[in-house]
Amino acid sequence: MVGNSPKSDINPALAAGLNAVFVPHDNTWVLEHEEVAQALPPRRLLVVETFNGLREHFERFQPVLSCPIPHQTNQNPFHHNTFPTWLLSRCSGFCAPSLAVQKNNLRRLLRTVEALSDLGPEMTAEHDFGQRARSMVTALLQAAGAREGVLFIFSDKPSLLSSIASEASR
Amino acid sequence: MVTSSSYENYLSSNGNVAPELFKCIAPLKVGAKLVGLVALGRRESDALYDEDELGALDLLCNYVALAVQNHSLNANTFAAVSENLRLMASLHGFYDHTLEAFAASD
Repeated sequence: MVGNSPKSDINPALAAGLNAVFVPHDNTWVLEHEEVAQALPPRRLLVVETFNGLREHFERFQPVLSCPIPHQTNQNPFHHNTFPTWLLSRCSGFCAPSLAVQKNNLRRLLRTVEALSDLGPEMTAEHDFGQRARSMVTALLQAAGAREGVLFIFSDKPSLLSSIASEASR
Repeated sequence: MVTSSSYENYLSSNGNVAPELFKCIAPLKVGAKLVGLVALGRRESDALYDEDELGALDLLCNYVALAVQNHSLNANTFAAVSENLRLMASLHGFYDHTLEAFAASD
């Protein structure tokens, strides 16, 4: 489980026997505040400041991820037998071995989940909608790898599209 | 979802929006109701948006659509409350004037 809420994400996951990644966020809804529970072995709790920290955590193991899995069991029994277990112990419940060996797909998945994790706190934060809209556009730009983007709101009486936020990466 | 291969069919060519500006337009829908849209420009590598990225964008747009819908509902509620308060103040004024009129007639 990866999340920013100790109450809804991290503590229930640890209680259910899952590993968890806690990504604290300043704008986490006050009702989600709770002290993070201790991870009892063999459960593991990883705390990263931003979602990029999680990407760096995975990239540290990139040389192993890019190793081809041998087709013959007598070629390299260590990799063949232990690779899925090794990977699962690090991916802990949210990615499958077949996805993890495809590095680009894993990065894309992480980028999407990163955007989702950014959107959650922003959608419940108690600041004005203009700021929230800019944060949402920024998250979408990062997820899609776009240079610029605009968010329009539609009203039907009269039919009108109004731009409420625009962002561009520098 | 409209991408750069099909946007010419959807965007106006009257000069208000340069057709080459937006490379991807994603509708924001809550149920069947359109609440807004997201328009994205060029990608960092000037590459086209591929199917997987459009799928991810579609997923994220569902959440953005909810936020936009919540904002619209909140704004409508705020406007309705303001209107009700104004009507109530008007009603109080009408009541006071009526009492004054009755008092003056005695």
